[in-house]
Amino acid sequence: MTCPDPDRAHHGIFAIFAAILSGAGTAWAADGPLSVTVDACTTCHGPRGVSHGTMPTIAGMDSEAFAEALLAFRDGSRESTVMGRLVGPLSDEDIAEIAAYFASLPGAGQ
Amino acid sequence: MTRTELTRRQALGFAGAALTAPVLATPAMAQADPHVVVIGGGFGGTAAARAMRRIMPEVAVTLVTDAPTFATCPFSNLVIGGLRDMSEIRFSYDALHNDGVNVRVDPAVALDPAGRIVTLHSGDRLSYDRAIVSPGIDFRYDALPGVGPEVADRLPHAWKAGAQTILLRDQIRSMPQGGTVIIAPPDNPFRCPPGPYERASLIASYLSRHNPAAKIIIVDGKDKFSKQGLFMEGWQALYPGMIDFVPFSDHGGLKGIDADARRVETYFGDFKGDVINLIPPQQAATIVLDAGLGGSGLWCEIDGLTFEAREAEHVHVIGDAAIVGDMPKSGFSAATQGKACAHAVAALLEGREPQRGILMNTCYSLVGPEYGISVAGVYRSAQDTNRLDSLPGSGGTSAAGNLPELRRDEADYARGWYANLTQELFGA
Repeated sequence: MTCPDPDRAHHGIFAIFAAILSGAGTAWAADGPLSVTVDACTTCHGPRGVSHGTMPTIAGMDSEAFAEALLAFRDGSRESTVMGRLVGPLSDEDIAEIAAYFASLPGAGQ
Repeated sequence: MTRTELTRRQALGFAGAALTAPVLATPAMAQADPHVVVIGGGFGGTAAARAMRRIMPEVAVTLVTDAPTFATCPFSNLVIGGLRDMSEIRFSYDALHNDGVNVRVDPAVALDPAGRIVTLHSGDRLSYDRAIVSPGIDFRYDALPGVGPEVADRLPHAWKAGAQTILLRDQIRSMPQGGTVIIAPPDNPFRCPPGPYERASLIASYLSRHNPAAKIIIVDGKDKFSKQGLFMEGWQALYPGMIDFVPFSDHGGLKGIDADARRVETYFGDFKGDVINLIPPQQAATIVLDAGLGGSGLWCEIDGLTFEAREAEHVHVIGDAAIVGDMPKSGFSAATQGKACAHAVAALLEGREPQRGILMNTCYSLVGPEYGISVAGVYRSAQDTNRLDSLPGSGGTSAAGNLPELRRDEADYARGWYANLTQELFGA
């Protein structure tokens, strides 16, 4: 795994990421997350992260791109309608866990 | 496990444990598989029942509900405004059956926390290891001057979706040209704080197309309301002069209601309408208060980590019937709480410490078919009190100002939000 922008303050997340992807905390079962925080995402984004409407599908996304997006929403560098109001309290660990979980799922039509 | 058995080490030691602890703990139950009874087939109950089966498949889950289908309050204002059909907001419990939830269409009439028994209308008695109670609200017609529940046949509340939604819609459709709709919302707390104002908006949307000289007067039980600035900005942009908001301090409260004359009397003057949407003050559903879970109040206080009632062990109360810290009484909140509550119940049944995770609420309102606004909140239970506090640096409403692109996007997202929320609760 590479860090695309090592100057960014959040580069440490990728170390956390590596730990998660190595299986240190596989906090989910095959049919859904076993984490309260991860479970918060699907109420808007659809069951198992597959959207049935205008919200983006988040299942099957590349985990680094996913984490990058959440970090950018958190630091305000990426504009949003609502995500910027939701991700502020998420820790790096929360973001890494959410990104790893949805990356592990099949996306729409898969 | 009871609350008193949680040790200080367990209470303090959980931070970060989701990433490091073995997650699939060995079930601690030596006896038969545990039985969880869920009371209520709305947002909280269905979310809890499905999550319970997903998180801990060995648990037997019985969901007790009043009717074979459920009509959602979210998006019922679109039905009233002629933008959706009733069939589009009504759902069956087929998917819950398929998940292995035992759905009983047999209303719960009593809850006995000491005996751990739920009694149904048929007389059947269900015993439980844990009960998740999400029965919603009941109306306090006794808090209104001179009317009882029967007045809803003429002055609909439409605050539980279904026949009442259709009644209000049809009254508005048959209103004379240039007529007046009165909406009378209660003081806080009540189900869906932005609901009356989305309703005024979508009634105005209908009237502006079919009855453009008509008026809407909101005779409110309070002085301020949810997303007020955004709603008023939208009303000015879309329906100038059609909606009149009369705050409590301008009318002094309801003094009388004349259902025959369609008149609302207040201390500072009367309001004559052709249609009156009378939304009464509210309380936790009677079954909750009859079981003693409201203490001396009208709502159930709970522990924000486990949702267990302060007044009873093994009973978890979620949704509109509970006071859930800073979370609003919304269907989306109830669904979020249902999932988090299922996680907590599974942990308690397995002898684990419940996770102190993050809960979110997003609530979209349509001011017009292509004009959406939202409010969001992020919550976590406090380490010392377990109160579900709103977290700093998060939440709030959509940006104010003339932002047509944002309003269009949020209208699109409102429809997507509803589609995914209902898919998670009722979809295959």
